[in-house]
Amino acid sequence: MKKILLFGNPNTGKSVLFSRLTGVNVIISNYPGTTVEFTKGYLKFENQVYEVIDVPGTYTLEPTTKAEEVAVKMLEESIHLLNTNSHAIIINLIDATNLERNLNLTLQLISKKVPLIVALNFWDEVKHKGISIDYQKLEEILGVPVVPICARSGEGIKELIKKLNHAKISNLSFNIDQKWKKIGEIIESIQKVTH
Amino acid sequence: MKKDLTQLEQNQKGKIIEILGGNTVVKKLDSLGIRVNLEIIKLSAISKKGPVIIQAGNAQIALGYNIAKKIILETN
Repeated sequence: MKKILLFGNPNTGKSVLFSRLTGVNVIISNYPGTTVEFTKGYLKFENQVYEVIDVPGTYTLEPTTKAEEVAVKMLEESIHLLNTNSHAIIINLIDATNLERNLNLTLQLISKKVPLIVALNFWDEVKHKGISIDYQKLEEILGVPVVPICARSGEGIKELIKKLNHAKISNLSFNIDQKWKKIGEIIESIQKVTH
Repeated sequence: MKKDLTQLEQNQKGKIIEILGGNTVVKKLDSLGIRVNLEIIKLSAISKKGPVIIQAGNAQIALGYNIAKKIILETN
């Protein structure tokens, strides 16, 4: 059975997406840090059953809180799974209205060499705020599938599920000490803000 | 002028020039996107020694008083 892990910053809607994918009801609140322990659910698509895991939100892979410790431990377990030829996919959920802070985690996940899909959540809110994001270009730069979604309304969830088999290990290379510079470059080339 | 974050006035802009404190503090702030050379605005502070709220890019971040003390900014 393939494993899917939902990774992302706190308060990016991982639990909402989890409910959408699996139909399992989890506690969802309008403040960050709701998920401290993880929840498991199952998703069936094209006769394949996936185990979906809702991971607590984390800003970084260097844990500073209890919830982040759980998240990092789960990532390590899935890397271990990959080494034993099992399948694990990581969906990195991003708050598209706050790319800079969220891409930090994306780059850290990329440097761990795991099969990744990036989901840009809050796509409706992005339009409201007058931000335009060239997600196809982001896909090119990162070298992994990027899907804009709106977990609350369910927009884009189908496309995300269809892309599950296209998860890729990115070969983007960068110096981890200069990640903020890299993030700045990426954002400059894909994001435009109009008011 | 050099000031720490707690000394900034409300709605005053500043550029972070130094973060005092150990690896843990620097890394924690880094994970939130707070780093040297970043321009921020102090939005408000709660009471005298309460948390400080800053605007960094699109995000508003609340920082504890003791961490705010460690962030040194350059103001005009």
